[in-house]
Amino acid sequence: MGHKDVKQLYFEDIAVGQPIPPLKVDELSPTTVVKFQAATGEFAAPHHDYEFARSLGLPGTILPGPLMFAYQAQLVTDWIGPGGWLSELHAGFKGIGLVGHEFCVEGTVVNKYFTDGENWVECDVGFRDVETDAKVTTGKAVIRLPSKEARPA
Amino acid sequence: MEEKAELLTEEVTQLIGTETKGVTTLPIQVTDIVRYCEATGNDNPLYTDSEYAAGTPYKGIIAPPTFYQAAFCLVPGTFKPVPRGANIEDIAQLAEKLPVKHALDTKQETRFMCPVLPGDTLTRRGKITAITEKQTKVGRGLFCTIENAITNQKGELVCTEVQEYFFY
Repeated sequence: MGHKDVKQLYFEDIAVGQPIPPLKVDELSPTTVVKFQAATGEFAAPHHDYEFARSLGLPGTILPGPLMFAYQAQLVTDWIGPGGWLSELHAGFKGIGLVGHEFCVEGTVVNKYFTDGENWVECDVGFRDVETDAKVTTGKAVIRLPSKEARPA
Repeated sequence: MEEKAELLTEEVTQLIGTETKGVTTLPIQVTDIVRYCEATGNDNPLYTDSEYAAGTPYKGIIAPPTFYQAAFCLVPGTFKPVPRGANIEDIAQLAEKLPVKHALDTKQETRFMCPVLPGDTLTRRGKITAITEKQTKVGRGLFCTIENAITNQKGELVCTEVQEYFFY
């Protein structure tokens, strides 16, 4: 199986205001949701049963929160490389993500600092419905990155 | 609209501060991790390619950060649900007695301390830290906050999380 080319990101590569390369989820299909529910064992019906979701007054089946949380994490881990560490991830679920829509997971660097002997970067991250432009989640990520230079201990 | 009932009853309030039962998974399998990655379209080789992962600081495959959530839903490698302890299900059962029908995820915050590795068994312990009643655009309901700590078989803290749900 081929896989993506994951590069190592360094603290020196980071500038405040810099966007994280977005993660596009072209069509979040019912099949994807069923796969996720099978992989996690969370079988709540509003995520896969259209008629049931409609009976709750929803416009259609909705994405599981943990799936959106997983995509937010993936945005970061694809970017930082194996030597970086996702230390904190927050998601506020602000709206409904509808199955079948196209989404984009995106983020921006908001702060970087050196403390406790480590290099830290804070980013705003979120999950946007491309069709409606609505922000389905808003959140933040805190990451630790290696430096290109050895720092004094 | 019917008359609004008082949702935050004494019975509900008494849940605040209660600890949840510890829940422990079976050992995590590589196949559980790969299946999770396949489901989320995650083709990062750190999680799926043992040859590549051997050359990283971890010397082998690790699970993606959010994988731990999946570990507490199903017994790894099976379709048998892991008993969830006393947290969200008890509250959901209680919510069934109240004029509320639905639950929404409203917030998830996780701090990650160390990776989940194949062969790990994870234990989750937590407590209900807050329940508040509020009127929202979808209706009147209860916001419930649960804080969990997840440790591995060595007693290392893997992550801590704060989850908030809205029952309405």
